[in-house]
Amino acid sequence: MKKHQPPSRYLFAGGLFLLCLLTSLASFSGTQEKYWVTFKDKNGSVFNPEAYFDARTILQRKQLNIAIADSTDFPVSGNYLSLIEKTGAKLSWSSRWLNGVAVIASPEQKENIRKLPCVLDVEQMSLNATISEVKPKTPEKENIDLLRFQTSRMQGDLFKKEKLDGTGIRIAVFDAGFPGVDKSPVFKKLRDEKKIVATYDFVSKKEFVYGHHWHGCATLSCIAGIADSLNMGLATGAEFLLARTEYALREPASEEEYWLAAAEWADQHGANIISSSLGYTNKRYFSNEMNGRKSLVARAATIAAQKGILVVNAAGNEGQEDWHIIDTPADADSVLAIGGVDPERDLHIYFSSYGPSSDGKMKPNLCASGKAVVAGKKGLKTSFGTSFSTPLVAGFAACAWQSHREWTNMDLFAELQKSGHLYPYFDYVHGYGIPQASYFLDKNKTVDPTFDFVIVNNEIKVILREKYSYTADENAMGYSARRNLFYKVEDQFGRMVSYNVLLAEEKEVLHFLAEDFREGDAITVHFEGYTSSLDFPKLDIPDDPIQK
Amino acid sequence: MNSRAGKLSAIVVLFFMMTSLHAQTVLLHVDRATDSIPSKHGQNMPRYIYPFIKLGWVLGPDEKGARISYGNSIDFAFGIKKKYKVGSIYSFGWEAQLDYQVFKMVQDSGKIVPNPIQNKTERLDFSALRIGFFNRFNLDPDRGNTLGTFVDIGVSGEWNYTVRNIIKNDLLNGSKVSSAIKNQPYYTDLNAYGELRFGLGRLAFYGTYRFTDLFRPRFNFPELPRLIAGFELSLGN
Repeated sequence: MKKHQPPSRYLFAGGLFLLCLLTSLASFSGTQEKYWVTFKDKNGSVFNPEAYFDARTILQRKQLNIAIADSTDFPVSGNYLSLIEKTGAKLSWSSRWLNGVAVIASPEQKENIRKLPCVLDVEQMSLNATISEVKPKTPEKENIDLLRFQTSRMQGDLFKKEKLDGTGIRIAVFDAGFPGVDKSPVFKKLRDEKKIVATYDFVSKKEFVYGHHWHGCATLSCIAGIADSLNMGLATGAEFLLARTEYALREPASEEEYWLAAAEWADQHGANIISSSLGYTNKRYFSNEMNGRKSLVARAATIAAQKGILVVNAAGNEGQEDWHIIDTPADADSVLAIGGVDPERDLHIYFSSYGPSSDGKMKPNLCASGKAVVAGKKGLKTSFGTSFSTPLVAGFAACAWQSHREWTNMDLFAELQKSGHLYPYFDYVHGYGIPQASYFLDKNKTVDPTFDFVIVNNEIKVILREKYSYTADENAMGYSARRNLFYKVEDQFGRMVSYNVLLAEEKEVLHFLAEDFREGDAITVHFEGYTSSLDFPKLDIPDDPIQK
Repeated sequence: MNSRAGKLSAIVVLFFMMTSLHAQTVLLHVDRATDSIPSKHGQNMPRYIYPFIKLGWVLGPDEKGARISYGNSIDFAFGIKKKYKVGSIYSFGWEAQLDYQVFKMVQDSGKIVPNPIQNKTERLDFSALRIGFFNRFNLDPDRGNTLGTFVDIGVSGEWNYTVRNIIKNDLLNGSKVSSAIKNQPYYTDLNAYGELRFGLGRLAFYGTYRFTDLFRPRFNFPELPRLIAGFELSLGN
């Protein structure tokens, strides 16, 4: 009788497998999740606004006719936080605006917290943030034409000529780190003039923010960087609050809570504008929840707007991804959501997320170059993303606000939209277009019609006026405004059915058949600053030669 | 080109045909009816359909004439399963897997299966495609975005697409010879199993019991053990 074979190979393989399983089991059994705990009230909380707020905040609230302090400014009840701690859960950042606190808790601890009489709700909140930067397939060298274009497309020279550089405006920049801002020559003016008034790292809970991911360095440069005397952004005279609110790209577990805490910190320190190139998508939310009311950051951004702050946030880079639509907090009604434009084509850049919000709000609101020359850890580089469109517009907004300090943040919001190069035309990738400085400096500017609707029998044509007809030279590629014709079709309920951009190559630029439309439909066309609509009931006019 | 880009290209072509008699360059066309369909799936989707691997050991009692080497007789499988949620406690689902069972045969004097010849080593390898149905009872209805703690009770059927009798021997001249004998008449093509799983997140402990015989009755072979137990690891996020 032969002996049994030693169980060598299979047992070894089994041992390895078991090791994997035990590792997995260990990670499962030790699971602690992060939850957002909302309290019912702020019982016992006391608050002294003069001690808490920067003098700027109080002044700003007085100017905007906002109460110096209301219940949302009171801190979370210390007694309630103690009760949470007694369950064994670990406290993280709390929010006075949302009257809650982030906690790290086991399932049992979570249930104990839920049973506390002071607790209104407990929500799970593990999610990832997306830094709205796209890595190009091939790195591009520094590009002077692009550097000029990223501000000149917004007519930045007009602001400069009027000495509007954001002076007197305080901008809070939320990002994943600001390495190099303390050393790079791009930020020498900021340092020399002591324009960086406060910094805080909400991830590591310390003031030093000049480390970690370079992304914040890049976004800040698109607001206030100066490279060889060329402005990289428009608000070179503004003051700054720098907040590190996210881990680097390689660390996926960053949370909304840092954004919340930073928003309250920015309010405390008198911020006028928040520029955030961060967004949250499918790690926690469904796309139908991008309604500006669901996510914690959207709710916080809305409160920030109520406190008088203009919140500017990236629309996101999900245009080619399954998610496809804007992220949050760009979905919030009071947040200026910024899409990206391809500078070579002067229209939607392929990755920029699509609107509207899930409840139909027009998003994005504006757009700017989605490709920019930015400050990196080592000198300048070309980068892609709505991350960079956002600070470009934030810098623009600072200059616009400087020109009309009597405006509230929401006045400014509305005026910025009106300054869009497409306004009153909008669609769901450009919003109202790229903001134009001339709007703020010459309000009496009029626009001549550039095209006509021509209706003959069953045909509808859009004919360019002679002065605006196409010439080949004008349509050359490069970093310059191009002769793009925008048009959209809306149904009888005002819902956008389709939107389009054509290159205006011929005088008769559009040609439709009436039977393709239904009564109540409308076509709106925008070309060279002029917008006009055609409502389809008007087709009853027989052989009408021209209708403007 | 991804599917979205492909769809967009098709729309652009269609757009040309429908709306314009002129050769205009379309730079952007978004038809909201087709381009704005919201996703119906969230981040919990990987807990509804996911691949898995499993490894088990033959545990059931062997019979005289078909003694096996325990520890060396294993069950390895990989496959995919899909769950349909009925409520927070009950779900059901299906699974498909490629299963590989190895029975290491003890070479003793009473050996019958698959023949009385004693070799240096011998094993019977069953390669099968197995399709199953399971009922899942979750023990933590408030589990959130995890597989949670669950008990699965299911049945499955398999088709043995290959059965190999692999024997190894040393020859007198010192060389070694290994032979794989296939297409033998003694095994059955189809088998049925019952399965019980206890899951803790990605990890599950499973036990299967084979209801049917591996060998055709006319050969009068003693049966190989019916019980297998082991671990299953889900490979979803």
